[in-house]
Amino acid sequence: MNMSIGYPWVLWATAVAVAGVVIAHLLSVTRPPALRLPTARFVPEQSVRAVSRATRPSDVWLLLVRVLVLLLAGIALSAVSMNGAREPVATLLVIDAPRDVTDALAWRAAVQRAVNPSEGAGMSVIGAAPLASAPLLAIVAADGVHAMASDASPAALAAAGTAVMDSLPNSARRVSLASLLLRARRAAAGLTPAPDSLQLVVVSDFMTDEDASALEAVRASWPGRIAMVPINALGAGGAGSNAREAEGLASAGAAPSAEAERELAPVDVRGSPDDVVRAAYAMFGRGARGGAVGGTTTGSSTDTPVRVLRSIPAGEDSAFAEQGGALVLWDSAGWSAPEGASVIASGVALVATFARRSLASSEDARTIAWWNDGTVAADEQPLGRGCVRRVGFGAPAGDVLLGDEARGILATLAAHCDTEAALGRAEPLSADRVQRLAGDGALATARALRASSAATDREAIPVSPYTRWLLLAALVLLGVETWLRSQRSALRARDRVTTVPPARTSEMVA
Amino acid sequence: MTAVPAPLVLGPLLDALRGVKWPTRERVRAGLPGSHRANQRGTTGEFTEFRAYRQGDDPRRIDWRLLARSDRAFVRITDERAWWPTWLLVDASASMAFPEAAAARTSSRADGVGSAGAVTLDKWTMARALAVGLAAVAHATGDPVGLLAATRPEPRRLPPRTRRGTVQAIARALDSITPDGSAPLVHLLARIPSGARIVLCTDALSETEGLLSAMAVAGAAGSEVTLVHVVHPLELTPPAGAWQAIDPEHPTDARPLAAGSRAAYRAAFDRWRAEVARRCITTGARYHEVVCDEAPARAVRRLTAAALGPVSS
Repeated sequence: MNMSIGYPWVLWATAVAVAGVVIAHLLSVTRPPALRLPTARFVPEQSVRAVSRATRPSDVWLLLVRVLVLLLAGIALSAVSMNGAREPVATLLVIDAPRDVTDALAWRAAVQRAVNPSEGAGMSVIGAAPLASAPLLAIVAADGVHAMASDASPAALAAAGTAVMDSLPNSARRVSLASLLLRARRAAAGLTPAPDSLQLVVVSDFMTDEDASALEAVRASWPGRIAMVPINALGAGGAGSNAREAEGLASAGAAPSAEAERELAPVDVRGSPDDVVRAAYAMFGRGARGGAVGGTTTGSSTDTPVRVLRSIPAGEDSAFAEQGGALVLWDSAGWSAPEGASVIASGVALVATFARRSLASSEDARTIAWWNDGTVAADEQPLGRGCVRRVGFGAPAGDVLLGDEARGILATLAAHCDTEAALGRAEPLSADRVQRLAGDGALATARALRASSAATDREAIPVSPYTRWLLLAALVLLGVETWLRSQRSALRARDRVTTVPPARTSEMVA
Repeated sequence: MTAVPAPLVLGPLLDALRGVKWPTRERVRAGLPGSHRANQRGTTGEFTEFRAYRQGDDPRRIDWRLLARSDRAFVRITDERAWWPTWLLVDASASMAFPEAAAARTSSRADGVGSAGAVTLDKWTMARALAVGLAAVAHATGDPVGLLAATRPEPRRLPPRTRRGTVQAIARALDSITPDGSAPLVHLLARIPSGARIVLCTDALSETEGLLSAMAVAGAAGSEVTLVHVVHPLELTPPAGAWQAIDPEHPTDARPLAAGSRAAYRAAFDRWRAEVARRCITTGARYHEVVCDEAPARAVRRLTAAALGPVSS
């Protein structure tokens, strides 16, 4: 039976409070007992409160009840829990989606090895090796597909991994490493019972198209080292493949981001003349990139492959998408109240006040932009030969979209539908880059994870199953304490009014 | 809230005061025959002196044997004896119901049974005993004795009587009184006829200034005023420890009485008592302080004996 304390400082504060109550019980500033004195007028006027000290408790039961109230409340608020299933170290395995369908078999075998320590002896790991003895608790896969293991046994974990791989659609699109890490952090916060430490194992091919400028900030939010497992090294090639992978990683050097090199299409923005999105695309069209982004057209041009619709779509718009165009549905009205958030797309995070709208999940949709909490901010669904992109955030007010930070998001939304061609040009990340991402030092502790995610995720706050009962007991004892105090006050008042009968004259004459 | 006082037991007290005389300090006005020297001379009372015969004197007052021896005519001069009504004015305010049970128990632990070795009485019992004792002494000398007790809503009044049972009536009247509230002693003092002996049994804590002024007026009107100041040992030495002192006549006035303020309290109380005594003497009244640990019979003897001595004791 293990005992874990969610907030140890609460217990320390409780101990201090208990000590304070005991001291206050022994040393209290109260009104002294009343004495009916006819000559009270000759007593100097000053405060009627006086400090009285005692070497032993004047009311042991009252003091005991008060101490119990504090202890129960402190234990309840410190989230103390007794759980035998809790493990000191757990492993969270994050698996990137395969690049294409042909890699799926090798990928699946690699996952099997990663989740089964007996089969993963030959795998290559960048960074500290994962602890083989630590049970695996969860598996997270890319693109919204994930599976949780029913228990920590290798068989259950392998089954979960297989389920994830089977769930990945053939057209699954890849996401950035930043998105993977965000999902991992959310999954870690939801682990029940929360382990003391958590080691994160990322299985991926670590290509340049998954690198992004927001990756550094997201990586910094994981408070511990990460074991990076290159997926190609786990394939059928064995040790030779490992060597080739290492060579490939080393030769990649500082490859430019694929998003930065993506070819962008002219954009047909359908909106009012003073629309901020229209203005943004128009401004980028006059920029240094030679009109790659902002080749905005007006009116009803049908030559442009991308159409940003700021109003309700019509049948003509659907036909446009089915014929190979990219239709972006980005309403200009009907949004809720904006709030501060950041949207991550094309490796760039744009921080502003956004109005949000939840996007209904769809099996064939791929995510192209994320909120900072990992939820989908924009997705893309194939439609005929083209695609339809749904935008789940309103255009921020002001000149936010006119800044350089918005260029990546605008470019993502205005990209061609056939982006696989661009993805195919990705190169492996350098070994140094992956090593930096892996980091060193200790594993992420549950406390550090809570500290990093408590500000944005309420689910990360640990709650003990005994909290409500302990608080209820403290409340009951508080009532008992009030009753005891009232009893003591009544007794004191009764003593105060008691009088002594005068002596008889026979006594005084004697 | 105070308890109903226990009735006085008169027998031992009256026995202890048998034979005690209580003469007046000065000659009283002529009136009905009594035991006090009157300010009128006569021929029927106790011989005082001879005076040479003057034309118009009654020849029957000439002392013939002295005429035969000295061949000169003298007449016998005697003092008249008159009675002197005595009024007992008893304070029945709430401050006289002291001490209460808690303080009394503390006092027993702190001070024992009293400095004189006798039982320490509460202030109201002591005031009743003094009043009854003085009434018995005055009644034994043939003086009419009356009672005025400052009670609410109306004062308890027994007019001066010389008949038997007067002392018992006064004792019963006092037994039926429970000290409470604030007593209007000043108004009662003004209602007493001039030319009487007035004894105030009080702690002088209510309307002190007005009381002293009324005493001066009564003295100027020909009355002999005596202030018997009843003080309890707990007032002189409050019980040890920290207390919240509350005036029973002003319950909202609470003051802390602790070790630090005890000396200042005692100094202020002593100064006040000395000032009251000085003011009494200045106005021609008598002042007697009676502490409640003194036996009442002994206190009565001290009061009556001092009537012929100095002004105050």
